[in-house]
Amino acid sequence: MGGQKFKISGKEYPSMGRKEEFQFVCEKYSDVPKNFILKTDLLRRGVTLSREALIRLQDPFFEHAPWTLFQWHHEDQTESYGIPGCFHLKDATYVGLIISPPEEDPYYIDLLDDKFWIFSDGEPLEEIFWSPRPNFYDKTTGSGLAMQAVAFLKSRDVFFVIPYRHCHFWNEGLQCKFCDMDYNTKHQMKMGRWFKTRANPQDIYEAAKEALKAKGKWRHICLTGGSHPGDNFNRELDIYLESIKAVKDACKEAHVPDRLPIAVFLSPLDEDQNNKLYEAGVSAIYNDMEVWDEGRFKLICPGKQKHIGWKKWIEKMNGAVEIFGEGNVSSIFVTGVEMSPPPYGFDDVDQAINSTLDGWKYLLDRGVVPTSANWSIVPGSYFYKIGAKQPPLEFYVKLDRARHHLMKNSQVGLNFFFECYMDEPWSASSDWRRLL
Amino acid sequence: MEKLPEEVLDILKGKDTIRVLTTTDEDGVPHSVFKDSLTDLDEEKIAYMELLEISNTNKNMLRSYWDKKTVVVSLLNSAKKISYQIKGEPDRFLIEGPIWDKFLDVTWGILPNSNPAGVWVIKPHKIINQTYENRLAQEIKRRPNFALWFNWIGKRLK
Repeated sequence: MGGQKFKISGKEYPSMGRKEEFQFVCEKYSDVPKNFILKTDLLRRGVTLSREALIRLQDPFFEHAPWTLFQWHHEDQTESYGIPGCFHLKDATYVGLIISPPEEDPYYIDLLDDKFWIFSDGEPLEEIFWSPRPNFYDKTTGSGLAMQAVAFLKSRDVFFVIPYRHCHFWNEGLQCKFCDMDYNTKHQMKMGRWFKTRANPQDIYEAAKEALKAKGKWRHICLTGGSHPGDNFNRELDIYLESIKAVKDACKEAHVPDRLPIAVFLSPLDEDQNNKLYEAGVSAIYNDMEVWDEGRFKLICPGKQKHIGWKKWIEKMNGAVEIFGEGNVSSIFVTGVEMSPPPYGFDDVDQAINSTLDGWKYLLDRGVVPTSANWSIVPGSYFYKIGAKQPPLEFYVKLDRARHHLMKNSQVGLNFFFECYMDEPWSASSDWRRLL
Repeated sequence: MEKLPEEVLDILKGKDTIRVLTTTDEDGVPHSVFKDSLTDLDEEKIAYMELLEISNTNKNMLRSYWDKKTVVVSLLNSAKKISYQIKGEPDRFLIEGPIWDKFLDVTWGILPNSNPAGVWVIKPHKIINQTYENRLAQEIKRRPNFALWFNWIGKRLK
């Protein structure tokens, strides 16, 4: 994972191999659960699967991840075999499955005594488990669309709907520098996989109705998709409003309680627009800032800067707290991009951490919860093209640990529930919340 | 690892058995709670349904799993005059699958509005029969003079 040079407290950060770096961080941060560190490194370096493990995973018992909004893997997935979306450890720590090429020095998944294990240099580290395939995956909607094209499993808890797989910032070449959304959509279409940029509300209704039959699953529902700034973002809002109506109708049919919590990832909106969302039955929203520092936000998220802007983004999030309540507005940060190559990121671990923590404290003090999806350097993104490298493991561990202290001492942090540890396989931030 | 004796398996089936789980927090302070759902999975594992995702017990169980710390299960069946202490380690937190489904059915039968977190599986490594007569006999065997010096029961004698 060499290449880009990083610093810590002004000194050059030592270059370490996988095993050495993991050991170093575990010893330096001995108060951090080892599984959190392992998860973080699994996301950072990715994994490769043995042929035996891959063959075993083709068993239809296992969930095979539908190709979702982003590819997440560090190389294009062009094979026809099925790959699960995530796995979990014995303590139910959920980890997103990221396939990586050898030059990323990935971990290895193989069978040991007929069970799946994570290996590092031949040493078995942890037994892992895969989720069973939800029954609705194999059913089709009235229009002939596979239900997994509309809705999918994200852990036991979240029923995930993606009504819109296109971000308009790509039309202007202003997509976020880490993002592969439209590249991924085109890639999946080229591969002949089912993929529609826009899901029909009737399809959403039918898939939701079927999925909600599952016993002991789905504590809440999430909707996400690309940005659509048309008509002051009313186009984007309308996509969600009609999708939410479809989901709510399905809930009624499935005799689900009236206010099954719904969270939506979308662009920050005005007060009247947020009111519409709330009245439609939305309990919480995500307005993802991706990176805190104002200058870096402008560089890394040019579309967000052009159509909303850093200051307005924050103002609108604060306004949303008035409607949804403290702890029910969140902003995801693509943790790691604050250490992307210059001029986009910092080169010093502590500078990057301090900048991000300042922002997180500011947001928590105003009722907004900062969460993370760790940076995955994916094909199709600008950062992938310029050969960006992952920051040191220590950066992530130190930052997550510091956020835990902020969350623990904040009523807003304690009151945040719409993303539980099972729902966020892309960062250990969610796992830390198990200890709040 | 120790196998659960027949007597323990028997009282774990009894509805009138009191089941207490003791964990310790970050500072080593003990925390005891009743876990009515606690039962055996097989001869080598016991399990209970954790009802609250955000409970102190759940946090303590997680820390005990990560740090390989011992937790204690105490069982008392007054009718049969049997009590046991089981020391063990949390082995796995089940959030789906047939065991989770089974526990969920039972839980929802009793608490239909509950939203349980998951099933903690504990692997016993020491099982102690805490029944008075048994413990007395063990201690006398270990320190025989105890029987001599603690023989006189004084004015309680009628």
